[in-house]
Amino acid sequence: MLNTSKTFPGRVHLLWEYRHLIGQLARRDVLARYKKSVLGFVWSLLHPFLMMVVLAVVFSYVGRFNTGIKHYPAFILCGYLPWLFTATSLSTSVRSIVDAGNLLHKVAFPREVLPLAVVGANLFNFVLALIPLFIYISVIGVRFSSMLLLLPAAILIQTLLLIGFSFILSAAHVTIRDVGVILEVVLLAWFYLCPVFYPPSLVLDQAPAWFSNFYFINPMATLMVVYRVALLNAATPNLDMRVYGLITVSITVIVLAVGWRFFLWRQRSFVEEL
Amino acid sequence: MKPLIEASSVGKRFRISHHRPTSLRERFIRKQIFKDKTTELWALRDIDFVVRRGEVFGILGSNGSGKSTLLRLIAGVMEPTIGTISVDGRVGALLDLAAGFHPELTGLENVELNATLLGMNPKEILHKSTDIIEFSGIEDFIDTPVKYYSSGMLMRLGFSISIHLDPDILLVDEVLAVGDENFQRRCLDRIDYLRDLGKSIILVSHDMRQIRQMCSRAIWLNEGCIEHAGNAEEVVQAYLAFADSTDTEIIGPEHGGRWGTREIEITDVELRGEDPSHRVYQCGDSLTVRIHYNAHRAIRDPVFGLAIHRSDGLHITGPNTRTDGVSTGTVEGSGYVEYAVHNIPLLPGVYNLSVAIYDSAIRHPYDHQDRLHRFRIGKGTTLEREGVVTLRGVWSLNT
Repeated sequence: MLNTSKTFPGRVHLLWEYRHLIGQLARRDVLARYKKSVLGFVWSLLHPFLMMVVLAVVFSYVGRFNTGIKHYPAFILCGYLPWLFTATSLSTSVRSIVDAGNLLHKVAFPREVLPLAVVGANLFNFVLALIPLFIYISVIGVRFSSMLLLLPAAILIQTLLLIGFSFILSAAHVTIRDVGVILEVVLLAWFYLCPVFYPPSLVLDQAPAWFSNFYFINPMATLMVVYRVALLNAATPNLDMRVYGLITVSITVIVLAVGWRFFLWRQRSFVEEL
Repeated sequence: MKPLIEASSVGKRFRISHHRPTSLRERFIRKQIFKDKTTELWALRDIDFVVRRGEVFGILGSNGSGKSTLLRLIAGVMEPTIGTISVDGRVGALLDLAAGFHPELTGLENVELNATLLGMNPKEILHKSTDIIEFSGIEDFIDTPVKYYSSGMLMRLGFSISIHLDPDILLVDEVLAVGDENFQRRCLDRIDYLRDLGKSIILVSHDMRQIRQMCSRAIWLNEGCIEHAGNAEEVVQAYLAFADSTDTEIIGPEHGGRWGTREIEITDVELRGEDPSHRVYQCGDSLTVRIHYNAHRAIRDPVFGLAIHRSDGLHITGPNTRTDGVSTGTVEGSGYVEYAVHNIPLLPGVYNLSVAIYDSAIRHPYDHQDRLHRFRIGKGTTLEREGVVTLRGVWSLNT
């Protein structure tokens, strides 16, 4: 019977059986997004490319910050694209259970499928957006190194982290509808705590030493550094990033495990509360 | 052999929360982030039953008796609070999936999505999508986004998907609400077909006829408990006896309405049986319908009429004063008209009564009350159950 398995291996097995559903739901999200536009699917590639053009123009000619960062537009995109992946995944998945309310009453399926599909669709868009970024980076003459191997690892970690968060958010939002609103504020604050437009050194050089420890506890900050190392061969901050990498992996595992437990605990009452 | 469904001491408790929108602040103060102030309500209690393979099993009960909750537990949408319910096979439900459709996607894309949702794999879907589309009868619009569909088309497509799942158990909740008559027919045929294949079917209904016709065994739920279990006929009898004695409404809200210009108005409709204190009339008894009217001006030759429909909409009779050759003359002020039957031939069940007053040509309605009145016929002395009426024919045997 469905929904009875409470162990992680049991759930993973169940979700594996429902992989087609996750795929279909993610596909629906991707397709529906560009359904009425003339260019349709091309936008998935064109959108990040146009963003790049704007950023390149703005930062090459208009507001020239003396940041000392090479390839500043590419630098920004290496932080901004992962950030978009996080922000859209979370702000969409938080409503995934509530929006499916009607369906939950009628059909039995593992409820994790809903937030998973949202993260899946956004992962797809993220990876697609990396293609024009790759092209851009090669054009401006950056050589890829063996550090590129870190890219799939970073994507995997970020995806798992987002799955964990989306479990917590979507399940909590069913009972407490304030979650969706709070999330918007949190995302805004979180954005500025991440080194998207500035290099981490800018913060770390001016802040007290204890702050740097906290700064990289933010897994997104660490991940952005890793993305830049992988794609741009960027210099790492003057800290032992391996430690923060390990911390990020640990946080991911904890968020995923706790988030899933929480989701399984709450899902019993989804139907009654919707 | 292991039964397909086995429920033992199943109970389901709901918490009804009093003030739904709770702010986070309040929850913190009460230190109950995930709890609302609630009262408990046991929707189901001590439910034990077994459904075997290849059986058509009925669940009957009035509104709010816990039927839908029980179906949801079987479908696995909810979990029982106590007890266990084990289901050994794939459960399918005949349901309207249209709510899960994505408006921007085409009919076909929605078929694929919703079939996957029900647990079909891609191969199966490839096989069945043609059947599904054909069954729904909207081949021509299958590549159109469903937001352009009419509600009827949406419903047909939604049902078509769920009915093509190959379940071991099919749950059917009040089928008769499905679309137009033609489509209903096809749904019922499909249910028959699945039954002939040896699939189990659970039929939830408050239509006694359907339960009798289709089910071998049944349970009757009353306020969350099993009041009676056994073979379908027995359970229906017990239920009807109970309904007779308490005069409860078996059927949900009636349709119907009232229209007309009201120059002459129906002020009251009285049903008079042999026992005036009781609203149940027995088959074979006499029954009189008394229509009270009030004519606000003089009306020449109004036609009084009535109609009786069975609860499922079958029109049984529709006598009126004109066809019966009764001239009413000029009517003014108030009075009443009676229609008396000495020997009601109607078989036990619930019937709807319409009454009307028309002009002499039966073109212009003064007051038409369509199925606004209801009465019940008890079984009286007859043991007949098939059909609509008893003809009180006489058998003779020639050897």
